[in-house]
Amino acid sequence: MTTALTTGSGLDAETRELLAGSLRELLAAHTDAASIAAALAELGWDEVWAGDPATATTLLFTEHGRALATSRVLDDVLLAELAPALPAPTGPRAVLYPHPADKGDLVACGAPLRGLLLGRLDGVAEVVVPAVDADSAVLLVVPAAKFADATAPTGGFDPQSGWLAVARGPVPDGISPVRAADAWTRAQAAGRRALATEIAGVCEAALALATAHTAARWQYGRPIASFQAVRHRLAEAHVAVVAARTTVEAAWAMAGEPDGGAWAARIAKLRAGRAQADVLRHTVQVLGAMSLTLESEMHRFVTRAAALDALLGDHLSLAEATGTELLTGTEPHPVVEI
Amino acid sequence: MSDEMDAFVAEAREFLEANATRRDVPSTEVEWGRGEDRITYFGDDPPEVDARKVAAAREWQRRRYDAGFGWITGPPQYGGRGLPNVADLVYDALEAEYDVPDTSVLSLIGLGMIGPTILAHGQEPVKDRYLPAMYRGEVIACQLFSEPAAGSDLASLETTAVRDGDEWVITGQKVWTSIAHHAQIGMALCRTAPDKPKHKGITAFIVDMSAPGVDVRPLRQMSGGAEFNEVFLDEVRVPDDHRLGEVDGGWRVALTTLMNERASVGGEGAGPAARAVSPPFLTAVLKAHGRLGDAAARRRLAELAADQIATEYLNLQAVRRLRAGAQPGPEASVSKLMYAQNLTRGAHFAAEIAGPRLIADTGEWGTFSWNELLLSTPALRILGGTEEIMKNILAERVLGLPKEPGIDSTTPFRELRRSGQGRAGGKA
Repeated sequence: MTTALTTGSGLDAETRELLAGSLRELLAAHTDAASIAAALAELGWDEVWAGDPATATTLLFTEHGRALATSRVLDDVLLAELAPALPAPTGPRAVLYPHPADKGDLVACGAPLRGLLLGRLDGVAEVVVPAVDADSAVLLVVPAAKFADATAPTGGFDPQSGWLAVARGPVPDGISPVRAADAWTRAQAAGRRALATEIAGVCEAALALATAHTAARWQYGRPIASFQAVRHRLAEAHVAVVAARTTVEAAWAMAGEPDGGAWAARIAKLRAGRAQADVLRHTVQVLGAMSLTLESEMHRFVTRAAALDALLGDHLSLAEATGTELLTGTEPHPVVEI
Repeated sequence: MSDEMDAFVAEAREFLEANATRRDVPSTEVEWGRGEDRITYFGDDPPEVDARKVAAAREWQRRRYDAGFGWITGPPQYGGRGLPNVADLVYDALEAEYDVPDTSVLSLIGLGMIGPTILAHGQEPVKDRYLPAMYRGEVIACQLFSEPAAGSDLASLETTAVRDGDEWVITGQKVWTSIAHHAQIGMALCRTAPDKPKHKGITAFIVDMSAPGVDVRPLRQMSGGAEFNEVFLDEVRVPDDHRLGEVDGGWRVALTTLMNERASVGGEGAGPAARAVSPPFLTAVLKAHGRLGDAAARRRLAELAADQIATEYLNLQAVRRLRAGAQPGPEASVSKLMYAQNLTRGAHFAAEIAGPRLIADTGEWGTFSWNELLLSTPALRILGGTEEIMKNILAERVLGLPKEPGIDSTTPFRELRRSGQGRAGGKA
């Protein structure tokens, strides 16, 4: 097996810290998808990305998560993998993600389209839709105009995500499916690594909030963070975040595989999804009644992390699928070789 | 470097080919229902088998050392080979292709924790005398740290060392001492200044385990083995040149050892226990017990696999950092927590699947055999620093949370209330 050790290859620690700082500033100054995209272009993000995709993705999605930003950067990650399989674009593209309620099943060719969009389709020419045709994955390139009346805000758990649901979309008549070969598998793997990183970023920000709160909040004559019942919860949350981050790094070590390191990427998304459930349960509890009201920011981390978990496979569905594969004989891929 | 490294690889390959057998199948491969089904974490072999294994470990370490692979990165003046850290990684990867004796009785405590401590804090005579002998497999080292009244609160230890000319006289009791029955030396923490606060009156020594006054008595564990011991020290005389670090500066020395311990416990990869909770093995358990339709079990299997991968990769990164010369830091506590959690969850998973068959020995392969691991898992969450202590370390050193208020770090040790005393302020 060939193992590409992509992690940490190109950029040194100092450069990474500088870039992270620039991204923090950028995401603080820009809040809508279009201006985030423009600011990233101005920063020369494409070059950073091309030079060291692992580090670039990790930096961007960590900060994206910490800032609770909403944008289309995830589309870029998937489209980079899908583009080689597709005809030349007629304009900017977006991705229609599988509907969370479908538990990872893709829509059938010829059926009304269903799924999630990361935001409004202003300025978008084409929507790339993964679908299934006779048991194999295909891609449909649908003109964005066809979705005109089919989208509605997702609402629900995280109304601030800005995501749009397509519950019963257009039937893609006259659009010939493109054989995706491994392109969708690779795109999904890349998307899962990015989402797992973003979830870790959300968790880190929630943990930082809980850490600051419990160190400043005094009860019984001392900071509540000096009580073991509180600090042990936060320590467990830290362990969960490290576990999530580590599985993403392990997944990056496999990203050079022909299938894009799909198995390891799914494990990373699974682990991050579980981590957010554990971490936010702890961080909410140690804020006491303050976490229950909208005056505290904590609820935003809870809802965003849960929404990110639902995208490209929630942790329970991914665990179910992985467990089934293990039992039906798919060899667990060795993750690391020295 | 590549020419030198090529030569090193060729030399290592030649040594291994001449002295060991290459494995046919990877050690991780599972064949359910065949071969040994015992899953041990702590050895619980009869004494004669145990002795044979220790002898084999010593012999293999001696051969490694004599061929130049026993202490690849060690300083040449103490018998090391002085090669860069990457050579160590390369050799380990090569050796993993061969069946060789398990040397953990030497490496885990002696070479993993006490060797680095001696190198960092020892005086020349101790370095000269023990380091080559340890890395040649002649000297096994144990850790004389915990005491009946000083477990998690190690700094409240009571064993005393009193100066007598060029020597120290050590008296006290140590407990839960792994492999003391095989050890030639022990690293002992002793109280040397009871009037100072507890962390500031401790001194570390290397004790000859065959010296008069040293008495090692086995403790039997609920998992069946007896790797633990009580060690009684009755006026044991130790030369001053066997002192590690400064007089009353032993806490700093102990921290070097403890950091390496967490890295060492969390970093354990192979071994029957880790193999037993690996995804292929647990998959085999589920299949063998016909639980294919159990969705909850399938999900847990996948979750265990994810945790296993996280731990393995974290350890791999830690090994790379350590070999590149970094000191183990508080992140070793994360490894330790994750490792113990994985083994515990894995053992509980198997126990649940095997059900009552794990309790009674019916002779059925792969059922009762889990009981040893199941009964060993509580120990994993305690040894090398309990989980509660690990979480406190993470809370303070990584998350920066405030300490628990207490008087014990400023009060003279003599005035602290301790286990086994009637009341506060009792005079020692």
